[in-house]
Amino acid sequence: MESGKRVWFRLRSDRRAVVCMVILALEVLCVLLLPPLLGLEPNVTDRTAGFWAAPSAEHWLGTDDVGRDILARLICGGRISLLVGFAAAAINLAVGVPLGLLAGYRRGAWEFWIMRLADVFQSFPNIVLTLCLVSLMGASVLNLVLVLGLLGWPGIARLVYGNVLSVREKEYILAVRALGGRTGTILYRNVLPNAVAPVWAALGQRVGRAILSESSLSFLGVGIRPPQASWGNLMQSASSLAVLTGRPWVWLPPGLLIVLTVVCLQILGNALRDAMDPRAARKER
Amino acid sequence: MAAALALAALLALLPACGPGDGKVAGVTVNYGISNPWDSLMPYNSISGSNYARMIYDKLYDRLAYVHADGRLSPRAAKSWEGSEDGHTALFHLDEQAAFHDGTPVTAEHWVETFTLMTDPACPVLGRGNFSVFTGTDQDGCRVAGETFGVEAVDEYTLKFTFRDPTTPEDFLLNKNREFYVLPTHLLEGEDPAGLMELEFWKAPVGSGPCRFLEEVPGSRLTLAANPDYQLGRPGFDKLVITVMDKSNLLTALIAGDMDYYAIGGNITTENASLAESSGLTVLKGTVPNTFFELMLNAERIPDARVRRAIELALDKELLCEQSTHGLGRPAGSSLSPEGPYAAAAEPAGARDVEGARSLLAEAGYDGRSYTLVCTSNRAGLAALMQQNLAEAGINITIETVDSAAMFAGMADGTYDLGIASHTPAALPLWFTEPRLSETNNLFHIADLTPYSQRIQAIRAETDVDKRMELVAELDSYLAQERPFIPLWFGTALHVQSPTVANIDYPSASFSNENVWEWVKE
Repeated sequence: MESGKRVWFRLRSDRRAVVCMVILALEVLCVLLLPPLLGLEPNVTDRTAGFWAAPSAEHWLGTDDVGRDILARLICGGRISLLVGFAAAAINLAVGVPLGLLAGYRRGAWEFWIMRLADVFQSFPNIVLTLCLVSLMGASVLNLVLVLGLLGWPGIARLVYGNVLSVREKEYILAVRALGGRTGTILYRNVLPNAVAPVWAALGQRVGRAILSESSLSFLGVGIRPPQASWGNLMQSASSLAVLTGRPWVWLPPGLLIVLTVVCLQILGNALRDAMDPRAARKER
Repeated sequence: MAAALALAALLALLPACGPGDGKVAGVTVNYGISNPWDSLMPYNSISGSNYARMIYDKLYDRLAYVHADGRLSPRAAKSWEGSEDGHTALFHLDEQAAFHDGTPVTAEHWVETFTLMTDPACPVLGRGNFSVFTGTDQDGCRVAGETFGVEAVDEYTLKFTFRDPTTPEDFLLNKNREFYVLPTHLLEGEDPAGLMELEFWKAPVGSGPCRFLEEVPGSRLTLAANPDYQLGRPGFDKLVITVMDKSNLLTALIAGDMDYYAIGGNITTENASLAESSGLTVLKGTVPNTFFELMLNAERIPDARVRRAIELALDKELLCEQSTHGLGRPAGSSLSPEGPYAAAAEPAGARDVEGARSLLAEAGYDGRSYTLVCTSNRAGLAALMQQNLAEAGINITIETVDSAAMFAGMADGTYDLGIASHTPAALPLWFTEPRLSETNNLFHIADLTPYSQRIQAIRAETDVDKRMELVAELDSYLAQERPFIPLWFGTALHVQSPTVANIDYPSASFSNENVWEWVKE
């Protein structure tokens, strides 16, 4: 297994990745620390400011249709959006990687059933299936994470499966097998490190995709339960022509943050893939 | 600048969503509608929606035209009169009225239509409306051996006999939009069981102000003006009704692809300034056309003191402002503030958080959390209510679902509270009677007797002053028990058509449009 220090060193040498890491770290710090530090109250109506107030010294991004501070909702909404993104991607990974490993390494019935199950999952239009499941289960952060997480594993599993198919025939794997290595140990110590590198690039995409899915569902009105804020349901107000054309400060900041986060995650994922690739390590030596 | 660019981009996209090849020669009125009709047979509408009614309103004739302020004008009937005991009403039909094939509309057509629609073998949707007549059961089916309460006195006089005392005005205000006359001379010999499946309904013949030309189901309907309509020829040649997404209606009007959109060119306060800045005129409605209420589940909130506490905790002024942007007034009753029974209405009352807390303590409220359901476009309103109620110590969680799921969930007891809106009527029982009955106990009231007795007394009373007293008594009882919480009455804004004159915008909320008076300039 690659040492953490070496991966970190390689990652640090990629300037774009460092910039993206800083941006993402800032985002995470802001959404975690600013609400308690500034005493932000995203769900409280400011009756003095009124509904749909324009940006002012008191409300930098104005107020929404209920008189709530949009900046406070933007920051607190980031918690939900990032939580949904990272948690759903983690479930994708936790389900997809073991299934991909098993299908690729054990082959036979394992390969058949896991890959056919992946076919079934992938044959449904993702957003429609997500919409139906979230509607049935009820809109909540937990349900959203579960649905997005459990529907996203086939992509990861296929990626791992494809890599394992080539890795399992390598001489060093055959050698370990000939020496009597146990399947679990071979998978964990020999196959996984050599097959998992592309997953890191995909992971960035997965986080971004989950954030976008949450945004889409919130935009459609079946995302996060009110009055909780998320970047997606802040964008929902743009469905009104008056808001879209007359109040860009309402929907532009969450839109920009979604784009920025997804781009950063994509770049960071690619950098992480390169940094964790064992072949890169061999080249260095 | 950004706003102008966004609007320009939207408008540039619009030609693709406009009527397109549906444009026909002559003076054409392009009419937008956000929901499609589900049938061209008026007694076969699954949705029973106001959008479908708007289509039937053009093709078929009704007895009268209902104005937004509760006034009635002649349509198929020139005049009407009720008996002293309130059990019968005579409608004198317009001799000039004729079907689109030229056959005069007679009282016999009305009788035959109603007889056919109350035939148990005929699969009519919404047949319950016919249960107001004698000789029918509660489902509106004719009962064998009993005299049916719809008769032709002579060729142009129609007589209705009601099960309960009803003035013809009350009947029309309540039921006019449900009854149409059909060309029964063209349906002779047809099996009632297969009536709805006839090819006839794909190109129907009616006696309304417009004739059928062609239909692309669920998408577009082209009608021609009926030159022989008894109230006058519409001031256009063709009416092309196109289904469009709700969010595109205003932009289509601004772009000139649409002359008018249903229902009544209604527009939100938010979009009003946008419409005005685009050169359109925005008119303020003349009478309240929306009534907001908070539905309560009395099974889950059995103590009337808790229900009253919820009302006291709500800041109706603020909620009304958030929803109507100054175009509404808080309500303490479902009686329309502009209607004839306004004097009997309970006042809205002021917010009293301390009073709410006292009532909750008195009722032994245990701090349980209730579920408030609403449609997603009212999530902001629900969030405000949540804040209001939290200040009094009442916890609620919000669920957003579509409208059908909300009413189904309230009916089966899934939800505890729900935000709903309705089109109010001038009748004193327009809201309470349909919702406080054994067949539709929407508020889950354990014993409906006190309500049904009061409602029955109001229905039976024909003296105006005594009836007013009874209405006030019922309203006071409702305020005490609070099975639902009246929130406010809202007045609509209508965006005026830049090309069609004489549109009676406010009355469109009451499911009729005066197309025979429309003139496209």
